Amino acid sequence: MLTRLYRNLTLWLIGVVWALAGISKLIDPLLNSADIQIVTWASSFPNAIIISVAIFECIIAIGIFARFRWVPIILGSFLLTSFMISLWIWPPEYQQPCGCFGIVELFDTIDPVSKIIVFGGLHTLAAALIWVSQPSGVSIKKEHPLVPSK
Amino acid sequence: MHFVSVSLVVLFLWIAPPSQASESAPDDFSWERFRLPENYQGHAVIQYELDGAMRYWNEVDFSFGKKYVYLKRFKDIPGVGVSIIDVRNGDFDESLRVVPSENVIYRTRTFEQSYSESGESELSPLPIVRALFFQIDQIEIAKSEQMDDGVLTYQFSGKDGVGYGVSEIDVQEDRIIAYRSGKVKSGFVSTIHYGKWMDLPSGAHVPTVIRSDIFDPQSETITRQVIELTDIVELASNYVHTIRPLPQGFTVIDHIEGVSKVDGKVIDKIQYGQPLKSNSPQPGARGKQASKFFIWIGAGFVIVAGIVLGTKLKAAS
Repeated sequence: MLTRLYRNLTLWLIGVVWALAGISKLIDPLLNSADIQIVTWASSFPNAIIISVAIFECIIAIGIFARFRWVPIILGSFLLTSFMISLWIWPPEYQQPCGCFGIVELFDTIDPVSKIIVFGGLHTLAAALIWVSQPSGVSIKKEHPLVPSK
Repeated sequence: MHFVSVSLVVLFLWIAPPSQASESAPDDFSWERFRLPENYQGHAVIQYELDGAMRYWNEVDFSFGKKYVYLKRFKDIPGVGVSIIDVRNGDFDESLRVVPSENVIYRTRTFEQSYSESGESELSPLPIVRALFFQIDQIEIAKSEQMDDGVLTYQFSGKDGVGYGVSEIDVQEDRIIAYRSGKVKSGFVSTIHYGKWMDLPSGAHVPTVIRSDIFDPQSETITRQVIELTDIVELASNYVHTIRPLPQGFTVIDHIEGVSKVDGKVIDKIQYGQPLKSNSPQPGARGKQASKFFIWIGAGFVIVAGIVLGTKLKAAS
């Protein structure tokens, strides 16, 4: 029971973060948060890619709020891995904000990799909680009072 | 993106030795010829072009004069409000750049040396006229030509091959309608067009729509910036712009005296070539701490996930 509560809380937290990330990037003029001194890493990509990523993030959030479990967590992990690869291929400038949350973090200097690590860790925790809370496995069947053991 | 500075041309004008003027130069660079007001102020909205559409960039409150520059750059962020990027004040005594996000004021002699502050030439041709006015005896006009449409082009250039700035202005009657600047080696990298001139009651006039094309030689792309000036008010010719008092609690990085100060008290000498010390956290210091904190939290999540799985597997076995 408690495991399910933790699982749901973790999933909802992940859902809120993905929703914030997606919506904040979709809202204009936040998408174009280029500034004289501060240009985000995300804004260096074509608008079509930014919008696609934002929609994908919103789909993950909707999936979580629609009570899907494995699919949004797998999609989220895939997206985070993609971010990591992109950061490796096209590294941001020193202390350049990533723009993951649009204008909200325009002045943010937290390393984008750190954000991916913390969010990836949260996905790992969610996956673990989903796995342990699902009613499957021989041992559960054996001990279930309504399933007579052979 | 950046403001194109007039410093290249004025730096050249400043360092160029006195020489004989070109034979074909009309040589009339008096203040009266260009009919610019001696002092005026206004507001500017800066937009840049991306994918064929104009996008809001930021805004500037400005006040320009024969002997001073004031620029307050800010950005109105929906849902966040007005965020000041920086405030520049310059006259022949000192130049001060206040950066609220860093809690720092930079004190230099930029105006005295270049007759301008960064960003002024994108809003007005006044720094060009100012430099010509105050350095009239040190100007070398490399070339001047009359075009078929009546536009006079003057070129000022430095010694070839040493990286000096090269600049050109187009003059139509009493208006400077374009300013190009760059380096001798790489050629012109920015072109500023001054248009839609507005007549002021005194008989002076100012451009109200200014377009800048900034060329990036590496990517071979041009970024266009369009600035519209509003609320233009001509100030009295005897108007005196005051820079001080300075905001309290800021660290003053004083390049004139070579020290850093807080509220007038010297806290350190400026070690050139080394990072400047400030009484506020260095940009990024807070970010570095937060980044480490984030990594620890992420690692914590993974450990908890491992514990959860381990407990479950143990119970299952």
